[in-house]
Amino acid sequence: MDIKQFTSEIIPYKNKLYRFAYRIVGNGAEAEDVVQEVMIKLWKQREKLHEYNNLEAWCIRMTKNLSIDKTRSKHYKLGIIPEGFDISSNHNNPHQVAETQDTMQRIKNMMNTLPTKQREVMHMRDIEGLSYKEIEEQLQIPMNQVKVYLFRARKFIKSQLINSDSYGL
Amino acid sequence: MDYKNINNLLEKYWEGESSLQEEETLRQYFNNGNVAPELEQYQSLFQFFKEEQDVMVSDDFEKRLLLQIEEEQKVVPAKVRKLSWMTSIRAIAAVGIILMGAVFVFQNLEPEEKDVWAKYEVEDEQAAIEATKAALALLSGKMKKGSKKATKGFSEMKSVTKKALK
Repeated sequence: MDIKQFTSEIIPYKNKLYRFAYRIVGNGAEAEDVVQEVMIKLWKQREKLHEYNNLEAWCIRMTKNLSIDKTRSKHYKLGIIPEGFDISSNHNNPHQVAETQDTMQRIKNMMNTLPTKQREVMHMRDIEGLSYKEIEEQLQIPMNQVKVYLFRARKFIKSQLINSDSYGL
Repeated sequence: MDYKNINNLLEKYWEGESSLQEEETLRQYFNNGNVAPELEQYQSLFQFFKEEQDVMVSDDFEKRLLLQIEEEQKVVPAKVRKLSWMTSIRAIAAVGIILMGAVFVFQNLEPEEKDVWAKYEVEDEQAAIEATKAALALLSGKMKKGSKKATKGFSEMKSVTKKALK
């Protein structure tokens, strides 16, 4: 695989890998480092890449493993501060901007409290819009288990939304 | 889409039975602004999903990555060739030095050590007896000297204690 092919076939996964890494490491700069590392590793294996049936699934797996390694590193154990995505807003009113960011942060916190597998499955389905089959391949979880994780994750989020609404949050 | 249809889709969504198309319909509905008051509590979730879909790496990510790849391509092969050539020369030189050192040690040190011990070797039986006698005499002489010193010490101690008791 030459650089031209690499640019057209592998680099386009960057945003998807970034969002997935971010879901695990919880920090934009760290997530970008993970994706960069994944891309360099893929480049080094470029002669073997054609052997993989599902390259996207392979990229996701590498991203997941490297992200988990990051969270286990010394730097992380010392306590990195998770940050929010910089959500650009069309609202002109600063109050509305702050309110939107606050709401997004609240949902993000709910998602972060989910068990890892539920969080990963929900991310793949509700943010990346993948089918159950694709999630099964990319996360290497049997399809019936994917459905169970998704059901539990959504059930938890629903209960949190109802609770926060009834408390007027 | 009216409230009833959306509510049905939402029920399917919570049960994990909605299709990808139906989930897209929900995302569009909750991001359009005209949300039924009864469903407002769920709006933020679908807004969050929409926002997250648009999250991307920094603008210069690809540029930085390609630069790094370029560096990898340039540096690695040249470095490897240079290193392997240098390493083999160094290895040959190191082996040569070690061999020369070993030869030097075996040729020079071993005979010298033999000569040193040969000097002390007593071959004649009579001479051996004489040497042993001399050694024993030296030992007894030293012992005598020691006991004399000890007796002298005792007598000194006696006189000191006598003086002290007076």
